[in-house]
Amino acid sequence: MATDADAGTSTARAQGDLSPYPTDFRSWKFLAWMGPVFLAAFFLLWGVLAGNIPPFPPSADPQAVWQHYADHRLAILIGMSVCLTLTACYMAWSVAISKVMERIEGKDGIWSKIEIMGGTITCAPIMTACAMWLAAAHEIHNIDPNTAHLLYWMGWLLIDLAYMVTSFQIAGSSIVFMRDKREKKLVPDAVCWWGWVTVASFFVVNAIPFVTTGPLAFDGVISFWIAFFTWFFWIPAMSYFVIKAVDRLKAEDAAAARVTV
Amino acid sequence: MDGVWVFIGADAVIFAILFMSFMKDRLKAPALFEASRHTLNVNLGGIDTLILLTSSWLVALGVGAAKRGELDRVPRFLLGGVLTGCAFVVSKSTEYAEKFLAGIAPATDAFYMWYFTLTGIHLAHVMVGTSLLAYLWTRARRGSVTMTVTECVASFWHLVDLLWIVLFPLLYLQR
Amino acid sequence: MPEIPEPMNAQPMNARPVTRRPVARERVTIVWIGLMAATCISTWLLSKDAVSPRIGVLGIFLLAAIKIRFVMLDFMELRDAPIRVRLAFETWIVVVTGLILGFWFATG
Repeated sequence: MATDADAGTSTARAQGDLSPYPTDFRSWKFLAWMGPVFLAAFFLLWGVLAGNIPPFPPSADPQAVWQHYADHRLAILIGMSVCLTLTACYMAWSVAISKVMERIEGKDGIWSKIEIMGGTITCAPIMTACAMWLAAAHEIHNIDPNTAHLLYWMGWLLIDLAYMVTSFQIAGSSIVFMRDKREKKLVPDAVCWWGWVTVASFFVVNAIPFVTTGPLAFDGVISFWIAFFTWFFWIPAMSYFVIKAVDRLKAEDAAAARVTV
Repeated sequence: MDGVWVFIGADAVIFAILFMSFMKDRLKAPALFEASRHTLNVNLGGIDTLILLTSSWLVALGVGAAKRGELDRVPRFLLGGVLTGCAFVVSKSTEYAEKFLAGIAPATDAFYMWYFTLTGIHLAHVMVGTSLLAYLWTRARRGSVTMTVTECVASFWHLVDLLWIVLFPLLYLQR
Repeated sequence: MPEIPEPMNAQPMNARPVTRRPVARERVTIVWIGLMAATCISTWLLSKDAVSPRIGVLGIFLLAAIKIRFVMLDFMELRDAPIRVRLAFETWIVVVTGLILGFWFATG
């Protein structure tokens, strides 16, 4: 649809679109940028400021965990609280992706709905875990080491083991974007395959309740470094092409409008 | 399906990171790693290597036959790949059972954590690869499989083979 | 009615084409034999106490690198792949082998 709805010009409609309003490409692009915003917030606030890259070891005893929260209280308060708030950007980003997927799948497509649900629900374990760690830091002088240890583990078990909502999000996007029939796909196959790498890397994380040291522990090379960083790479890769896709779809709609005049 | 090389390449790089991580931990406790290594079944590990090499060979023959249009041979070679894949799974399971019965588990020490983790993740790859080969075999029997899918599955299978070529000396042979 | 002679190269539907190469002569088969032999050498010779650890480990990992290269070039058919893909994978072998041996020599 043309962006300036002028009574005099005929506007091309996106497939099946009965709305009298033109597609809001500007908002769409803004929401596509929410992916990098989320990643920056998560990496800098949760990762660096709150000290989770790398995580405080799962092998730490209650006293060590309590001391960690006491020593870094302010940094954790700031990092976790702002990160909790900005996690919503991941939900907004997922909507932008879903609408691009609908242009390939059709408005009734099922994977675009899975993607939007997966991306939105991903926010839940992240926000809740951040809230737990935030509470631990906030209340550290009112709780005993065992409680601190419990809160620490509760956050990690939640944020890690809920991975499959994100897996569904990624899988949905990979499936649909690989089906794109354009000669130059909106999202290249390489990004979709990286999505599959990310999905595959999540499964071993189920080992974290059972080990506190080694590669499978929640600070280990597999469960942390590989599992998180494959996802960290997928977010900007997908964002780049979704942002570009909005422009391409706008051009496609404009071209279609010119043709139907 | 050029994108599949991203998957295969990423898998290879991730395993390379794991190999380095293992060597790093080994550097910290060489005596422990060497002592635990001695309990591994080197003969079984060597046989596993021979099995996977044979499996790769059969799959490569299958791909070659498909390319030349010798469609009657393709299912046979793929079936050979599936059966050797199953043989690996059986062999590895036997090895694990041997360990568990001897009271050895992943949590026993750092070496065993790596041994079970590395061979376990590799075994998962073998099972996925064998399933894909089995799927290819059913399609090949009906004559309805594409070259692209065949080559992608075959390439993944060869990756599984070459990863074991590193894993076996890494865990079992280096003293 | 005179019999129409069959053309010399006519084949029934399920006959083997005369141009088929025997499996034993295929390149991949020769490579496979080499790989199997190399495996036996590593597993049942180089790893034994009769060979010094240094020679043994060097030999084992260099043989492994060579084996992997053949799997990549002849089984995975990287010989015919785009040069960038082939280079990436060959680099992987060099890096992995180099790092493993580097760590081994650095270990007490």
